[in-house]
Amino acid sequence: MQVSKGSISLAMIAKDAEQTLARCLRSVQHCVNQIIVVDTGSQDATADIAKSYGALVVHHPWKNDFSFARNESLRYATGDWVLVLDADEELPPETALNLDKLAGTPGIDAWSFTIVSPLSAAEDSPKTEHLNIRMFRNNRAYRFEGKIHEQIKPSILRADAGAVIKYSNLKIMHYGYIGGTKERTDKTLRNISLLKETLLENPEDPFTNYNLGASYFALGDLRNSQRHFETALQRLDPNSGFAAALYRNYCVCLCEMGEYLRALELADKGLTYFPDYPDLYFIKGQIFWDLGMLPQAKASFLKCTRFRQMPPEYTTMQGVTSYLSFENLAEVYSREQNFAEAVKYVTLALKAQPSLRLLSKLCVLLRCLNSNGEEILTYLHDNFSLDPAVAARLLFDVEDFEASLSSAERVTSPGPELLLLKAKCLIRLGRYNEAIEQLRPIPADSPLAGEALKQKCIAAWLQEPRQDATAAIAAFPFPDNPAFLACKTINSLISANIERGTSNVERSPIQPEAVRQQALQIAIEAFRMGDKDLALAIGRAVGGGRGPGNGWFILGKEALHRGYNREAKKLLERALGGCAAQAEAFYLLGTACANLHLCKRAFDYFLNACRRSPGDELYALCALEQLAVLCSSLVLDGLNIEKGNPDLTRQLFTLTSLKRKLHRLKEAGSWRVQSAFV
Amino acid sequence: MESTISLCLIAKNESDNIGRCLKSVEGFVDEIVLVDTGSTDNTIEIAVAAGAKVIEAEWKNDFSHARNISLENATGDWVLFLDCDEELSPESGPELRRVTRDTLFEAYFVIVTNLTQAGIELSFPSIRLFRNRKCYRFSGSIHEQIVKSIVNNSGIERIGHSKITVIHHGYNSDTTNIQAKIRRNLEILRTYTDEEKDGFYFYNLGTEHLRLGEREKALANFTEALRLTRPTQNYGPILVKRTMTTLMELRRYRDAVEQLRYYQTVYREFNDLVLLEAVCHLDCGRYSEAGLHLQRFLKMPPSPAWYPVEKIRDSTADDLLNRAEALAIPRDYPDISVCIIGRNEEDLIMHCIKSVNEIAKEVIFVDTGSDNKTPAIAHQLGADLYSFPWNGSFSDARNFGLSKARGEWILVLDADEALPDESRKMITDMVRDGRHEGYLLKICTYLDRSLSPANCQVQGACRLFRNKNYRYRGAVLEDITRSIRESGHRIGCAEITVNHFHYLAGDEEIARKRSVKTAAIEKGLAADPARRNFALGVEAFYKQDFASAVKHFENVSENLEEADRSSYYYFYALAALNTGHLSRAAEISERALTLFPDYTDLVYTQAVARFILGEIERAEPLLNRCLEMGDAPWEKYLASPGTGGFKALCSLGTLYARRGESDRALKTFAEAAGIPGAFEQAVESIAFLQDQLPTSLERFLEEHGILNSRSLSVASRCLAKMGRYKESLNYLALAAERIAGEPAPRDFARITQAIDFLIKRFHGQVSQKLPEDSRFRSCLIV
Repeated sequence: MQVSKGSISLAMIAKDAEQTLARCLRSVQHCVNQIIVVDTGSQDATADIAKSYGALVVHHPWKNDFSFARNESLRYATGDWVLVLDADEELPPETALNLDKLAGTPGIDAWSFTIVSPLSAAEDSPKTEHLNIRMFRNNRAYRFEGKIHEQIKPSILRADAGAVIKYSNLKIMHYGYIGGTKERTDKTLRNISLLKETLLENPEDPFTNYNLGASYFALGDLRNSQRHFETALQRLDPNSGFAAALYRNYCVCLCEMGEYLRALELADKGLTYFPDYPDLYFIKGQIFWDLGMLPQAKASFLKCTRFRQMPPEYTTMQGVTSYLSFENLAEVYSREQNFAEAVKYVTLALKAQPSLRLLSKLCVLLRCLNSNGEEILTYLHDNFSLDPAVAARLLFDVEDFEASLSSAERVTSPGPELLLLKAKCLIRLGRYNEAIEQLRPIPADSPLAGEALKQKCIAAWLQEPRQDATAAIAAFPFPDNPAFLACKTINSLISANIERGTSNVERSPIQPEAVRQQALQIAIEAFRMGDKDLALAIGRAVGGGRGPGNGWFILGKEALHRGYNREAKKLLERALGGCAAQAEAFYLLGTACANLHLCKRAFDYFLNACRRSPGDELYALCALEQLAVLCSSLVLDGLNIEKGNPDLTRQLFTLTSLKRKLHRLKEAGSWRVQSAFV
Repeated sequence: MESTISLCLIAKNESDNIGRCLKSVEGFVDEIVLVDTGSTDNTIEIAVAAGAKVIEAEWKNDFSHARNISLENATGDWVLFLDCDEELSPESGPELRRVTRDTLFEAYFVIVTNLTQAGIELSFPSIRLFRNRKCYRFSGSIHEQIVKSIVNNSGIERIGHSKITVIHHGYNSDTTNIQAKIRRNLEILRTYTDEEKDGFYFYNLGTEHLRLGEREKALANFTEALRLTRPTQNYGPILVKRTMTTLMELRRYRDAVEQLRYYQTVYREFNDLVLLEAVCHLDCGRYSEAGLHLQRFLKMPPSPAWYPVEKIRDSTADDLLNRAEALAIPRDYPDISVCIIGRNEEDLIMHCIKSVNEIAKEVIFVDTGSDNKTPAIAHQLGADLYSFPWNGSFSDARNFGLSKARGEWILVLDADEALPDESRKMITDMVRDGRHEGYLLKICTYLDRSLSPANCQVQGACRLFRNKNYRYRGAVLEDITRSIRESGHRIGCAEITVNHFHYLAGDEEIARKRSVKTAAIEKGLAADPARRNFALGVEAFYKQDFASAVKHFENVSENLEEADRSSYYYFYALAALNTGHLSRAAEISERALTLFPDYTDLVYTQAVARFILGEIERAEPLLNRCLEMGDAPWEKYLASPGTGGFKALCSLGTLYARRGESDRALKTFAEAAGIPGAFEQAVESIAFLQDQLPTSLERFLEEHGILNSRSLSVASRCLAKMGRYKESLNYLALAAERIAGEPAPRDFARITQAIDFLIKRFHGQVSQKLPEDSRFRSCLIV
């Protein structure tokens, strides 16, 4: 009878893991008694790093078999318990602190953990969660099975049908989805080849097919993904551990393919087995959203938010029961023009998961509610006690310059970034000299110096009558700085006394690209502030001065690129008269209109683009997409008259599916990371 | 003395419902006991906020177990139990207080009403309120009942009836995952041991299957339940009713009527059973009989409260009676036997028999070898069933049927035929007057699935005659007129339509019928080569193999029987036209017209041939002649309706347009659009000419009274065809706008078809210019 509270051996396998291994070992070194690393052929410093943490390093050639390697690592374990981790994982402090408690609990044979996988390095990256057994008693009978997606559970239960496997309520972080795309693709390809080998033994095995489906999805190969998921589903025992995840992931795959009808059926079928699985409701919400069936979308997302706890055995996306659903609810309400509700839900989302992106969305919504700057500020302050500098930035983005400025004033010693913001506000408010004053303290060696110079120049040029900015430019010490070069060129345009509206000087285009970019940015800012002449002059200079149409065209294209749809639309409409790239102008104009939800116009413009350039696939895609959008809205109107009409419903699904497919073609190669899974 | 009441609930993940439930009892109960069996949503939080005492218990797949835990924890004098998806109706709260005050009753029935999207579906008495005694406990792991323990301990007379109403939202698909519920229920039912399987068990199992749409399984369970249920058991009436409605949904009307008659003697006060019988007759087309039962139903007092109320049809009994009486025909005419032959007509046989039941004394169905449910359906609709193995002769099969007939008159139909409503009365008038020995009826054959009058043929055939041993002759192209005429009688002519739905059958079935017929021709007409070639030509024509048809027709010799000659020219000319032998088509028609000068179809075929040949000036007078002649007389000729009307008119319009006389063309098309059957073609023609219009197309349509969602959808299609997509879309939007203001039922299919067409057309046109391997090309493939 063991009296000790239970010693723990960490058993790992690793290959070329020098990038991640230290993070993993650092997190775990003080709570395990032994570290075993089976190196399956590293070419890098993996073994050295492991040794520096006191690990027992065993070299073992890779045999295309995960279980084999893992079981090798188990052979060296001397502790009462074995903990299994991968090099790209890490124990959060709470887990590390509690490991010995787990090891000291009598009557338990194995512990499962929630594996949390962020999908990107961003702070507010979506994170998936799934359950896995990672700690078990060091028993010779417990061995991994399966060449890939190796499992320990079957052997535990074989050894003792009454074995107790308990959920620890603790997390393990997994960073395997972050990092080089190439690496991940290689890893996926390797998994696929291993899985295919396994499949040879039992071609219809649901688990292998499920994993193949998931791997192909990760590669973006939806057709193969669908094929394997379907095979898995046909043979599925709903009691098996991955059944719920199969329903979820297969649904995601079908949505991605535009097979909405089947996805919806499958989600509903899944819910008959797993009625407490919020992800299935979430997927339904997304399907209804894509279909434009807003009340149904709302009901589904609301349903998600009603779950107070997620049963740990479900694979899920973090936030499905809270911030993700709240944000989607806000989207639905804002589509319905119900901004008060939208604000409510964005606020709830922000409270669960703060992010700058959502804050600016909130400000836009508050704006839609006709709140003035002061009210927005009060709202932000009451709900989130925001830093005034952040608030100033947010208010600037919704173009409330007075309020932005007053929030910025509250900061006692502003840094260059905030000074720049204040200057921009002042320029917008027509207080040019004060703006120039604000910019003065920004040192010439600051990374923002170029930006500051641009604002100084703009503050001079926008004045009535135009001021020369030669002095500011002359004082700038870096002659290669693109912002400097752009300002210099533009200033010379102005000082050459170009009269407003009569600029028709032919000159050589502004070069190189970096300078061009700076100049365009200045032009667009000028346009947004109402100085069309300056904007056009710069546009023509950038384009080499071939008539005003081309100048407007270049500016419009740039504005669209920067997400200024309204400005892009105005600029490109001006361009239509006389630019060389007619088809492209129509296409860009169509895109701007589509972004602004002016679908009829967009369709018209895309049609024009198609007529002028009939062989262009992108134009054709866009035109058909808008046609589908317009037709769906007719169908939705019909459904409002006659709820549930089968002809209309069928048509809605067909059209939405078409939209999805076209969208995928347009963005060929990239797909929604949001939907990725384990 | 005021009694205290405990509300007892069990719940798992009921956050959508529980708030509504608890709110409905607020102020009317003194305690709330909720047993939670493992919610992961915020059910518990909501309940606690409403002041509930919450007990968390493990779910053991046993409703009674969980319910009894709630009873253990109740402290009131009385227990009210509800499900979370139920609520107390607003007026029931005070009633709850009233009935529990100073009473000798131990328990009460309340009325549970199911609310669905369609409104009330079913209400049902159930014991939900009883004194809080240790001896009253639930039993049954699903559809748990308290009644047994109360009856055993206190006797049935201590259970009172109350007006308390509980509203059940459970099967409202907007808020509940019905499938999940059904599956859970089925799973629990599966755990019952054989001893526990009583009538109530089978009734519940049947009900779940019914909800899943598995009617056959439901029926099997209901039948078992009926066997195990005494008439006095409280779910007896609803069981009978569900069994009957299930039978009816399975189209087993004969069985349903038989059983309904029996159960009407068991549950004499249950008037729904009378209504159901009436509906059976109505569904079978026995309108007079349906009317009698409906009148009986309307005279009955309402059923006592403990009979279930379940909506039978969307219409009220009065509406049903009006419908029945409108179609009923008084029996003041000689008996008619309807003789039908058919094989594998599952989809159409019901329609056929239903269309004659009202006037038939007997329906004789001669099955020539079905391997599907056709004979069973015929039988259930009231037909007498005979089997006659196919021997290659249509006459033999028909004559077998005739030999079984006992009525004074015989009406002959095929299983893919049916009488339209108005024809029935005309037939009874005809046999009552009985001037002739037999009558030609007007057979209208629809040539495709659209059942449009623009694409059909009419022809006279002797289908109604006295039952006097007249018999058909000829294995194929069978004929009874000779047999009647030989006996010295005349055959009259009655403009009574019989619809023939040949093309509604499946493609396979159509092909099979054709091959049977071809075989019969080869064999039966071997001795008569002229007729054989003619018949084979006609078969090829219907198969749209016009080249073969022309070949067969070329070989028809001069000695073709008189009776077939006019149709021979009709088919020959059309087949020639369809194979591009235009001059020949014109010549054949012209030559035949000297023999049959009143055969409009021949003039029309000639006109079309001339028009395509470019001989516009010759075509125009021919078309005008068609219009003067009107359609050919159906009793003499096989004719296509419209050749003397809208078809000629549309062709004339096209001719004017070709000559550049667009005003005249438009006027002609507008006139044609007013004629049923010509609408689409005419509107499409107008849309093609829209640039020639003095006003907008919309305006023109309005001026001619044809502006509606249908014409706008046609216009949209037409513009899509012309590659004018923006305008096409505009017309679609107008159509969608219009349809909102049009009365139901709205034909959205026309709009969705126009959308499909626009998208396909646009996609197709754009694709042409793209490279072969462009993925855009395949994006419409599902």
